[in-house]
Amino acid sequence: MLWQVDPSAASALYEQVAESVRTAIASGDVTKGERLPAAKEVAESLDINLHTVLKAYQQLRDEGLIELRQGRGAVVTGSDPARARLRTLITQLQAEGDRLGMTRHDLAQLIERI
Amino acid sequence: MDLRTARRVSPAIAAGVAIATVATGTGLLIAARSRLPEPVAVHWGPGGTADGFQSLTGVVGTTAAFVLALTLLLVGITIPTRQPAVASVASGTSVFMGALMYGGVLAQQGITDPATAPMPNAAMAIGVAAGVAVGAGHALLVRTKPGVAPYPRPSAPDGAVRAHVPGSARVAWSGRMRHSSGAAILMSAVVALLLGFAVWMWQIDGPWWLMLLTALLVAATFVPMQMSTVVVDATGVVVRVFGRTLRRVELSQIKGAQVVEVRLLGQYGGYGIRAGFDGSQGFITASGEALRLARFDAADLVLTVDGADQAAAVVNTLIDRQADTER
Repeated sequence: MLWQVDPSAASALYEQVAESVRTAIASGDVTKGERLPAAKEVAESLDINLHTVLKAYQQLRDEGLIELRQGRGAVVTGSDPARARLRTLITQLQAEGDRLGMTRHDLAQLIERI
Repeated sequence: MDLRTARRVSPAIAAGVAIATVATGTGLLIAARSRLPEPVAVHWGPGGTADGFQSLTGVVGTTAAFVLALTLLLVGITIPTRQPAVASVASGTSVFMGALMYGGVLAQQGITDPATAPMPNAAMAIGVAAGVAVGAGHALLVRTKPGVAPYPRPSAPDGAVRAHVPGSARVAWSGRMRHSSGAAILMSAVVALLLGFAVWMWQIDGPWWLMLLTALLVAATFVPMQMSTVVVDATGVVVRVFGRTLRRVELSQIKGAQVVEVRLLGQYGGYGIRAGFDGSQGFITASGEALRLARFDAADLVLTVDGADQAAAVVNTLIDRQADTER
């Protein structure tokens, strides 16, 4: 699979690392059950901080695309990265709505109007 | 040693080892002839009983002819690979065969009835150890330092595949050696057969340890290759197994990369780290598409990985970037 980060791009580096994995899953370059390289390896190859890669892996875990297993590393468990990404965005939207005191109904109406 | 010299010298070393083995063994047999039975035992049946015999003169002639002919054959087969270290197999084999055949006869000193000669287990063990040591020594002797690109280094060849990434992006590629279920089944069958032979030989007091050692060697070759990963980044290409580096090729040693189709048996004669009949070196785990790295002053390296097209594109893109920084 291809790993690609652009320090001059607007999105955060960890998000770009996560997007590399989502793209690879969507294209079939990595499949369910396959193990991703160790975070340290990815960090060294891309010359970025280890914690950046770890944050990317944690994000992908939260999206349900990978599992982080002690001794086995990061294993691909999901196969629909687009839907997984959408779920993450919706979760973030709900969290922001809660912060502003909005109900789910308010959020849905806001989406309808935009 | 430079590659051209190593290619000339290596077959000569193999020939020298074979001649030295024959000369030493023949000298030892002649020196010991008064203490050897006549004829001597040269073959043992499954139960460890001597069942084949030959005159000492016959043994001297047959062994010399066999060791020299085998060396000639092995060196002849390896010459098309154009890889100096491959002739070390001939060296190791001639030492092993010599130790086994001469040692098996020398062990019969003091015996009057050749039918009571014991199976040459010790000679076999010594032969294995000596063969491995001599073969490894030969390979180390003809080891060549890989060439590096001139300065400023050239870009990847015109027409080579490249990755479509922004110039400011950092790019890398990771993948696995391709699995072959056919090879897995075959290797498992071979290991099972060897283990079966080991059990049988143990029951009849034969060299069971040789079968067990062979089974372990086959498994030790197969399993790590199946688990190997390949990474391409700005430093070069690295093959890792269980987190340890198996092979590293610096980016400065690579001329360019392409995707090729390989045939496991037809081009490389089998599975594992192989010398190809076209002069390439291969990490071969299956037939099909592979990443081929052309190198400066060294044999091309071939890796049977999935996604070889992406890997080749990343290699060539990184080569272009290295060339750009040197201009």
